[in-house]
Amino acid sequence: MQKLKIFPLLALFTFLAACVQTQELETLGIINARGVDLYEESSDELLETTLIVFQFDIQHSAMTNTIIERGKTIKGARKRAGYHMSYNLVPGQISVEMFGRELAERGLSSYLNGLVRDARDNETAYFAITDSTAKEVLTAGQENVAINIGQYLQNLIEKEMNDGRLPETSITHFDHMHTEIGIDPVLPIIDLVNNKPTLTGLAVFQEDKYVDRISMKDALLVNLMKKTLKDTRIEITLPAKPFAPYIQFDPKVDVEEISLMLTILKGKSKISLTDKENLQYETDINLRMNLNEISRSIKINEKNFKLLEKEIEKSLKKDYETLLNKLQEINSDVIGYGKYYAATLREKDLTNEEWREKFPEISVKYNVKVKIVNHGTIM
Amino acid sequence: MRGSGSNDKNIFPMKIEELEKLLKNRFENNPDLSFTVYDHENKKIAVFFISYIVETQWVHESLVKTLLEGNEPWTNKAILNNIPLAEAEKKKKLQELLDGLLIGKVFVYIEGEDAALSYLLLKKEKRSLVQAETESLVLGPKVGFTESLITNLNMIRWNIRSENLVMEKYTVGKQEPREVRLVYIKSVANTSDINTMRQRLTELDIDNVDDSSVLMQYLEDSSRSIFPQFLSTELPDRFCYSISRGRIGVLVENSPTSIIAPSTFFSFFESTEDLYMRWNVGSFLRILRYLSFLLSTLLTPIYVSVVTFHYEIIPTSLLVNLGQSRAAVPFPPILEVLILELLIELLRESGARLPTKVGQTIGIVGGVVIGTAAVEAGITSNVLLIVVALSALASFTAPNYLMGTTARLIRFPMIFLAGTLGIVGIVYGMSFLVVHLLKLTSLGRPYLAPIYPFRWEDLNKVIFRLPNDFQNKRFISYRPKKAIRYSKKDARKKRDIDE
Amino acid sequence: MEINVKKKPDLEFQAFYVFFLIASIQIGVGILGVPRIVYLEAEHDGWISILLSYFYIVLVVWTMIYILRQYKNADILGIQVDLFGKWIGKILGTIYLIYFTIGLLSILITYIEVVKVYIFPDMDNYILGGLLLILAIYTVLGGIRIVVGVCFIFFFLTQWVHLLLIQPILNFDILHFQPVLKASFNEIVSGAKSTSYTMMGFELLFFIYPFIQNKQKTNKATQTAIGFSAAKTLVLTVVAIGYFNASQLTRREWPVLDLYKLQTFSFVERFDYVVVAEWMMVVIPNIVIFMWVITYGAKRLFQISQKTTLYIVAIILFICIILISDHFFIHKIIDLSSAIGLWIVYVYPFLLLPWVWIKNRSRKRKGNEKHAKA
Repeated sequence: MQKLKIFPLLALFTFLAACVQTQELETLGIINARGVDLYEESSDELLETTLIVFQFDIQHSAMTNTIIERGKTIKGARKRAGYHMSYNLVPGQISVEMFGRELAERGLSSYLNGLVRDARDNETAYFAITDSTAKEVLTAGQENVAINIGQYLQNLIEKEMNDGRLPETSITHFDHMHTEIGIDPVLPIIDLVNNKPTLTGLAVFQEDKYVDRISMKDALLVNLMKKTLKDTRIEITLPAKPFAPYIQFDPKVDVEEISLMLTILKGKSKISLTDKENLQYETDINLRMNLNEISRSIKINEKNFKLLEKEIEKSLKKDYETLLNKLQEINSDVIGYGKYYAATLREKDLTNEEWREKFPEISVKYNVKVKIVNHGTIM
Repeated sequence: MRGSGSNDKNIFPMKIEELEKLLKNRFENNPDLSFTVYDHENKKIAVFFISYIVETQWVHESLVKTLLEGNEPWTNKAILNNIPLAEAEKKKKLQELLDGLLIGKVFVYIEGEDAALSYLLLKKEKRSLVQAETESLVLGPKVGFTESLITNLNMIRWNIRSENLVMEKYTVGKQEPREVRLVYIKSVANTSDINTMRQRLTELDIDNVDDSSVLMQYLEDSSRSIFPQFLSTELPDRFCYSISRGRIGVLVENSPTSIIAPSTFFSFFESTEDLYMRWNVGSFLRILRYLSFLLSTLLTPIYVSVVTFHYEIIPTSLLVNLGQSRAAVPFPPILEVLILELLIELLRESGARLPTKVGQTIGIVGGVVIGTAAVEAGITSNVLLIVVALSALASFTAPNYLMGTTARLIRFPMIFLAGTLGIVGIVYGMSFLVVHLLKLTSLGRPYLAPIYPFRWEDLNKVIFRLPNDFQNKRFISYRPKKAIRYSKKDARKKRDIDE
Repeated sequence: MEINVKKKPDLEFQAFYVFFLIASIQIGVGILGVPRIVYLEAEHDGWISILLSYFYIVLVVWTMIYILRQYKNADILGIQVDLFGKWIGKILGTIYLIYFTIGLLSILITYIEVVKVYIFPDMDNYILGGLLLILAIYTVLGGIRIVVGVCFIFFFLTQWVHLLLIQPILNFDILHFQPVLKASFNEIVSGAKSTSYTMMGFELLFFIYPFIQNKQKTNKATQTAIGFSAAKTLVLTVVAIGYFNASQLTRREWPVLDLYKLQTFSFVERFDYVVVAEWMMVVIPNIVIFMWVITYGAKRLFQISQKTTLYIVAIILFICIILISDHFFIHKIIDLSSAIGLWIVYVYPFLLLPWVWIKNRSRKRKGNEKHAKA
């Protein structure tokens, strides 16, 4: 009986070996970062992809290789890149996928589709946009950054995301946002500054199409609407006038603005639709902050502390209103007011077109509440 | 030879010359058979034994001297009354004579009597008590069993001083009989377990048993399985620990290894040391051992599967190093692993076979020199070297040598599965292993108890070593006669603060 | 054929294990796709559908246990022979066995497809199919005790997977559930109907009942088991609807696996591979139970030795696995299995109930007549 059990197993093992395609690590060219740009010389070569590839070779100490190849689809370009490589190019370890602006303006959904369809692709990779071309950022970055550019970008995005200054930007998340009705996705913009890849802003999309960019500070404001922030640093500039009596040391020097560095200990937001017919929203923002630094020395007591809080509230409220105006102008609802509207519709589903018509008309009342908990050792 | 008709007949009375001829004939004229005939008061008295297994000095001083000094004609009755030696027996059959001679008995035959008298005056060479070689404890008694059954029984008696301790005697082996003892505590051990063991011992029809480890394989439920189903130990400490918890022990003459049954998969990871340590340290050590079993069976297969199939799983930072070290290796990962595993197994085996001092040198030379050289020569990657060394190290932590070797061997089919089907293969292998363990029994008791059949009360004894007031019961999966070992009536009184 | 089952007492197991048997067999491959299937019917009110189907199953199980309690130690095969006579009873019993075989086949091919999609696109069906069948044979050769043991242990070995849901739960969006009760009642009911394939498996009780040692606790164990499975399905569906948006959910074949995909750790970059492989441990109890029921049923009905059935069924399944690799054909088999199951599992017990009543009454009357005569 025992023999009967073991023999089929052994027999299976022997021809199992040849049946599943192996992917031995050293035979692979592992793509770590990929840049995709629009390239239109002929219809056959629609895209230009820049691949940052790990390849393992004893002779070469440099493991990272940059390959530039064109093709109709991303996968097609990868196939063609394989023609001049002795390694098997595989996409399972891509950590950053970067798109040129021109391409992003045309829409990313068709590329996304392929990424999500293949279960073996890494869905937790990050998307990023660049104002120049992805090719430029990746190749220049590769030369000027000490570590591998793919890892550099990944660490950069991850760090900013964990610190709360950047909204979630993984592929799954982008896929989620662009297919969801009533909210539009955002992606980080990475440009070359002094030949170093640097986060310069946030790209705002209309569904899957790039429309405009907002600043990194606005990115934080958007993120605050999306999730609860913890331990996030924020810089706020206030007019100096209300504080004039309290400025210490050289009160004569006339300054217009005071810059504050604050840490958001806990930042929460709540959106509610108050009037469905007239599309009136109310947004409550509650912030508990620590004061870290002030550009001017201000004498702090209970009274002007309140003043400080009030001024911050005012300034944030203004920032939000400006941001909303800009978003309404470009008609991109990255905060997701549409979702709240859709959640009230019982008879029919909201469509994107409908919301595009309605979004510029909405009005939002921002109630910002700031509480400064701690201000360090100096009074 | 044994059991043939003529041997069972009563041969006495017979002429002394005839007896001598008969015995010499049977022993193929062996020069060691000492057969001396004394003439005393006109009666011929024969004293015969096999010289080197008998205390000759005792024979001369206590037996021959008394025989010759007496001044009456000797009869059996007179001898029994006058010789200052215990354990005298009357033997009438040839077979009894032959058996007796072989286990060190001295026979006295007075011509004309209807039986020969035998005295047990065996001389046995034995080594002194030393520390056990294969198992070692940091805390607790360290002495090991020896080859002498008498010594072993002696040690057990001193350990378990209870009138309930039973040591049943059996003889196993048709051609070369060997004494086997069944040890248990009657008031605790489960009766049906004892009966099963008794039955297996008596029904064993075999010519000879080489050692207790061999006997164990004959007694086990499934001798084909890779897992040992009976625990074997060289430590009287561990033996008595198990006996007092209601298990059954088997001791074999001339074997320093004792057998303990029934046992579960988990009892192989148990050490008496767990009890001697504080409970938290004990628990930690026990969990460490389970972990190391998993580690030693799974670590290299995981390496193979990941490097062969699933590069996606490797964290990017590790990927670079791993790829770099793999790049130099000309073999596919599975072959690379097999080569290195083979190397380690060779080292281990040569270390075990060679005398201790040379063995240590081999370990260092092999580990350091060959390992580094192998990496430099590009035969293996340095990451793999760590992985293999770690899994080899982990396989040593099992307190039981047999389970350690099992873990070593399971690794190889796992590596094959990992090399052909990647992580799916590993999970398949694990599933197969679990099913196999489920099917095993030890003395008819489930091998995976108390996990399945599930017993909550036993679980804490197996996975952790909880404080004593949680462990007041014996291992009830084995249904001992007496479940409670430690009355915790006063042990845990709930008191308020400041009371 | 005996109506009551005679079996050796050492084959019995405690009612406590019924929980693991039922919970293991209910949660298999069906649950991987259930959020999508429910969403297609009832949209974001799918969770109500699952609650609805749970309440329905509670009733079914109650009925089943009521029927079983009318006999001393019978299984459904015996009961059918008792109610409908030898011929019809055996035909009905055979239908059960065919249903189980199709169910087993659907589990095997679905799991193989999942592995092919997620890990080895170029793997041949027969490799994994063969391996799983060998394991199933090896297990079933050990008998009912080992089958129960496999369910019990593998149940615990697979629960850690739920820790991977933390990431999607953190990104949960409550707005996806609003407005509540948007779907019509019909949609919710058809959503409940669509969960039938996933929730199936408790019909096993009809077969294992004679083997339960303390039968009075059967109801409690079974109800806990279906409660557990329903809760698990509910949680997974709610998390999936909360995490994915409408278009994502309808496009993804196995949303549950995609949920597990999101978690990354510093030591393992991608968890979906581990989860897909680990899911084998969820599937094995399913295969093993079905296999055992088939062999046992064939023995009860036709006195074929269990080993013969075991090998024959394994060979038939192996051939089927080799032949079937088309995605849409696999779905046809799943649909077939759920269509048969819908009648056998969800409706049949209620049809059986009046027959049992009638039989009982006539039996009592006969008993009374005998008393009167005496």
